[in-house]
Amino acid sequence: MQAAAVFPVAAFFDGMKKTSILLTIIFVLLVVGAVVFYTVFDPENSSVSFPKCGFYVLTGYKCPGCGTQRALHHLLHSDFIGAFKQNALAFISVPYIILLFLAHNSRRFCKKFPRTASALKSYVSTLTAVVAIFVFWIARNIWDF
Amino acid sequence: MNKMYYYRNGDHQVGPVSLDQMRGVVAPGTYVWAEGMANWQTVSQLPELMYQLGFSVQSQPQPQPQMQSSASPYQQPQYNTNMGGSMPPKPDNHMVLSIITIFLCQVLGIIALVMSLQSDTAYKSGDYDGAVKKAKTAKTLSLVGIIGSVVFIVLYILMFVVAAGAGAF
Repeated sequence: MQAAAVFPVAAFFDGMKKTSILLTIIFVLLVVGAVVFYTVFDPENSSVSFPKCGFYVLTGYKCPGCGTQRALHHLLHSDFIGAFKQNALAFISVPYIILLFLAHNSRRFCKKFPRTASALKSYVSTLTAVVAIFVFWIARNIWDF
Repeated sequence: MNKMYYYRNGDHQVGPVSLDQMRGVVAPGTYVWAEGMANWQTVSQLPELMYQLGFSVQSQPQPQPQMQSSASPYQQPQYNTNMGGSMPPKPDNHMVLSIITIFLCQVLGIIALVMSLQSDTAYKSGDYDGAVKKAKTAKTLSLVGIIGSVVFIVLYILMFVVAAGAGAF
């Protein structure tokens, strides 16, 4: 209680379980680490060898997620066109994922935008996302993008 | 024929459970739902349930039922009826996790995504328990994929750093 008054950060953890505090700290460290790492190093041409997609290594075909590391690097350098070229679907998905997360987890979002929230959670929305991912997967291997 | 209830534990939905199973598990502030109810409500909003679960009800249990139903139809609470009234609200199909798993280059993500879709399909056809089960599978698969991926990437980079460090000496 006193700690919460002294450090604003401690107020965030007030009332949380110990394990969830630990998980939050690990998560924040991972995110900060990833941001620093993917800003400094370029997955395309750098001395650091980046982990490759297992599906690509095994089959020679791209998976729907291939290019996310490169896209992230471009995005962190605010090169949006470059990010779009590396993995168009991941690029487009960012706002969708955020909205979907809010629709499922934020009561305030659901109250403010009830129509948007229920549309995002609807069966049609799910089906569209699944179809989009499969179409993208096949198309990127045919036309190589 | 016992009435079956669902209750919320954090962001999880538990049920169906009987009244006896809820005893000692739920608090007056817990959200519960049972067949015939239009919305999730806290136990404290349901005087009958409060009584059945052994919680003390401070205010008058209920107004006279006859007066409420026939004489004043306008005072009836407006319930959200678009869910049909026979099924609990749609469970989270954890598609966010599935999609993130896919973008981490995990084939598990594809399976999880299909599970998310199947959860929706099950819910649509009225199989609530099936929907919850499929959503749970999707969540588990996604978490395995995401944690596996993150551990793999971190170890990979650590290995590289250690190798580079060893090479420098």
